[in-house]
Amino acid sequence: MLLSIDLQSETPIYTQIAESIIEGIARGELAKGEGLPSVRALAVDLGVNLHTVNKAYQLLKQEGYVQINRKQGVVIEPNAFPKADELFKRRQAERMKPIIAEAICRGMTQEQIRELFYEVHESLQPRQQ
Amino acid sequence: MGLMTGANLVLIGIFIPVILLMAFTPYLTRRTEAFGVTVPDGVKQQSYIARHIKRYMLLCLGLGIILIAAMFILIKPEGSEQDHSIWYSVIIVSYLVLTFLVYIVSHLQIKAWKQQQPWYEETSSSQKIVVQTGFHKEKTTISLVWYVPHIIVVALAMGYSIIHYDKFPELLPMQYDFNGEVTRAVEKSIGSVLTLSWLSIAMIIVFIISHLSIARSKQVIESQDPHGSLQRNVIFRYSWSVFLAIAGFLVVILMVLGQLSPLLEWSSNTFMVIVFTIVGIILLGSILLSVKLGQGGSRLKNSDTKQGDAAVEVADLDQHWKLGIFYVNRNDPAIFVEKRFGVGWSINYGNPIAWLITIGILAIVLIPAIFL
Repeated sequence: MLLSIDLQSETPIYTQIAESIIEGIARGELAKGEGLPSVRALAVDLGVNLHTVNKAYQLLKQEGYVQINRKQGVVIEPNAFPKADELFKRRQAERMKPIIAEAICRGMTQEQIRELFYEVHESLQPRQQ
Repeated sequence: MGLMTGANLVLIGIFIPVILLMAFTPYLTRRTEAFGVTVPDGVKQQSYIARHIKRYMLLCLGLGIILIAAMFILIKPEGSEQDHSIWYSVIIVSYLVLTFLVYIVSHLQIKAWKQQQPWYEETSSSQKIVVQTGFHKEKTTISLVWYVPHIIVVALAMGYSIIHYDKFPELLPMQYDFNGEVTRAVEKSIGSVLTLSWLSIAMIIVFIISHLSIARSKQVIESQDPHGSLQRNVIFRYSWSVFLAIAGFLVVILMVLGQLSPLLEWSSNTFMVIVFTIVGIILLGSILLSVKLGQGGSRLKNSDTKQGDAAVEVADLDQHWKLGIFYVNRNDPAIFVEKRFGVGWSINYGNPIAWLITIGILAIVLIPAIFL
């Protein structure tokens, strides 16, 4: 997959890397068990500090999206990803709050917000060949 | 042949292809690079840059003709070997300095021109960096195991030389002039008999570092064709790693033959023929690869061009490319990077490790040259 970061963005780079990889998984561009570049290789290609990439990988590991093995390096979790349990749903709701709050402030209706969500969801579906 | 030394003939044989290669460099660089400045795809063909390319080419060729003429006029066959090497150095260095100045003028002018273009705002504002996560799973180079034969050959030559130590003459030739005459000789010792073996080992180390620079250098994605540009790059890297291993092997063979030459009883003529054949093969091979593949593989045509491969926005990184030649980025852990103007790889001058490696290579090459 093409991993993209923006050096001008206010979002920290390690977060951008992690989010980009999760997007890749959602889109099916990264398969279960697929190897990711080593910390060094990805840091060199992106031109960012090794710690930044390491932090992104640690974050992904914590969330259960990758496994870090001594031998194979970093691979996308080959088994099932963690379930969307109550705790996860509550956390996601918390994260959506400021996004929806902003939309409300700008006068968007529930219908419009819903539409936007569909749109984003659609954009994260696997691309048709 | 009164006016021409043998050295002149040989050097002209080397200079002409090198001058041609320098003159045609703008055609070998990536489509997105013009004199070290990143430009959008297609802009390089526009008349402004095309004029710069033409001017650079003509000046390189013109200066090249002057260089060769200067060699004929200034280097007299009756002059001493030392005079010759001084003149050669002066002529070559002035050629390199002058062509560099011609390059810099174009680089600075195109850099200023870029800022006035309608496409400038959108390309320069982007600080996005895009990489292909699967790139390093591709076979970008041959295995380092291919350097084992080199080491075996040197080891065999060392063993053979030690076993037949008493067959070496008491005075060992160390330096030859271009006509194959011995200009310096030293007394025999185990160390001096094995001089070229040590040098071979040094050369193998340099070749292996170059191999690693191909394998480890940063990936470069062309914004208009991310998938295709990386595919071409894999072929580019792989081909050069094959060439490097072959060239390294030929150099080792040459040195081993040189070391064993007192035992081989070959005429100095035979030996000169072998030297120039090997130098010729390496020179021609590198020119052929440069022209056929282009920098980064940019002259290759993709077999399976996947059209509709979405273009991506990529930062131009111009601010890190000093004079369009020196990549200086302290925040980048990369040691090796692909050159912008020219074919091959360079280092990240912002990285102390890159400096250490460069100094190391210089030491490996220069120390034997000075002390042996």
